[in-house]
Parts: sequence; structure tokens; C-alpha cells
Amino acid sequence: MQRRGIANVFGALLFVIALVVIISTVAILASEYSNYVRAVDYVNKLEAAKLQERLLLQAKVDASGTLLVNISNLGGVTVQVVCLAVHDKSSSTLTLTSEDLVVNPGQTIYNFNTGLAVTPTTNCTLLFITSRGSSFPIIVEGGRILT
Amino acid sequence: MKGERRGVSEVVAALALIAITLAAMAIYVHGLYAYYSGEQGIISGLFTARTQQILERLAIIYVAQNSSGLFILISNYGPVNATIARLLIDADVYTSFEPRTIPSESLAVVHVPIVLPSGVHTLAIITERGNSLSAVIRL
Repeated sequence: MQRRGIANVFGALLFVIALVVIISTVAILASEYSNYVRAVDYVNKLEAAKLQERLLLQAKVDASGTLLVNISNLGGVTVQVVCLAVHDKSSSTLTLTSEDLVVNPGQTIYNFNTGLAVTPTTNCTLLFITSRGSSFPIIVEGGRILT
Repeated sequence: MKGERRGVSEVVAALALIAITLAAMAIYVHGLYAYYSGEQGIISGLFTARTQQILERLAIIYVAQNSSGLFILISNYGPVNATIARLLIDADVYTSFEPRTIPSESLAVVHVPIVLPSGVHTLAIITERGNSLSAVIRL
């Protein structure tokens, strides 16, 4: 009789402890799995948006010899240009300039001044780099613009 | 006898309740401590490591070379910092590479003091979290 009473207590005790431990573990698992699913969803959306980034760059040289660019967003998402990288092949230098250029779908930004002086000997590559890690180039070879 | 047993049972039940309460409190206190001290449990650590690996997003934007070596322009467009642990050039590990951390949502130019011959080459980077990224370049 005495043993049965104690067994009941121990049984109840073990049951409750097991219940607490299992519920805690399941709660942690559910929380972490939820974070994992959110991360996967975030990355899928980010990569999908990156694939939709499409800029049309139309470059021209103004009277002072500076390279101007019309930037059109032909894609379905807003594009943020965060950096303009210029690789001057003549001097073998790579220069990065921070930008904060937001181009909405269907929008065109006219005559964006790159600050690059174009001469008949200019050989360089310009890259418009977006916040999603895409890049859109303009190549200048011997003063000729290739986009 | 009957009354004695009932008394013991009540004491044991009370002790059990106290023990359960303490155990539950210990779990919560440990959880809170881990949260505020930045530590992780085993289950949490496993999931977090995989989540962080997925969130790591890198892109090789451009590669240039001059007489001082290669300049690799890399974009970290993900929400977590990324550390480049290894660099492979044409499938060979570049042993002198120093690990380089690129903050989230930023660009970095990684300088590698090696001059490659003209032609097509393959660059690959491996991060601390085990992600890899490769690019074929023409110099």
C-alpha cells in the first residue's frame, strides 16, 4: 500500500516533468523552425526581386566631354543603385563612388552625371551596382561607348 | 495508518509541485539568460546555423587586375555579415588568403596580391558558414 502511494506520486511527478520538458522542446523547435521558414521565404523573395531588376542604360557625352547616362527601369521592382564602380583600364584603378539612386518601375532618370571625362583615349568600365547585388555595365573603349 | 499515509502524500505532492515549479522556472531562467547573453542551446544552435547560412548572400561583381594583384569587388546583399574564409584560384586553394568579413548590405574590394596570366580563370570563394560562390573571369 505504501509503495503504491509513492509510485502514484512518482508517476505523476514524472508525467508532469516529461510534459514540461516535451512542451518546452516542442516550443523551441517550433520557434526555431518558424525562424528558418521566415529566412527561406525572405531569401526567396530577395532572389526573385533580384532577378526582376532590369536597368536600361543609355549613355552620351555632353559638350564638356562628361559622360551622362539615362537610367530606365524596365523591370518590375524598384531598383536602388548604391554604388558606381569605375575601372579605368588605362591607369588600372578601380574607383567606387557611393550613390543613392532609386529608380521605380517604368521610371527614367535623365542625364545622370557620372563625372567621368571621356576622351578618345578613355578605356574604362562603369558598373551601376544595386542594393540587391546586381550590376549593369557601360564600357568605354577608345572614347566609344558600348552598353 | 490511513491518516499517516495521506499526510505523507500531501507533503510529497507539495514537494513535487515545488520541484516542478523550480524546474519550469529553471528552464525559463536559462532561456532568458541564454537570450540576453547571446548563447544558444543545442536545438536552437542547429537551426540558427542553417538559418544564418541561408541568409548569407554574396555576389562577385567584378574582378580587375594590375601589377599589385587582383581586386575582387564583392557585394554582400544579405542581412547578415559574411566572412570569406578561403579563396580558390583555378581550383587551387590560395593559401596566403586572410579571412575577410564583409558587413551586411555593403560592398568590399578584396585585394589578392597575385598576378595571373592573361586568359580565362576561375575564382571561387568559400565562406565561414560553408557557402561557396564562383566566377569565371577573363583577364
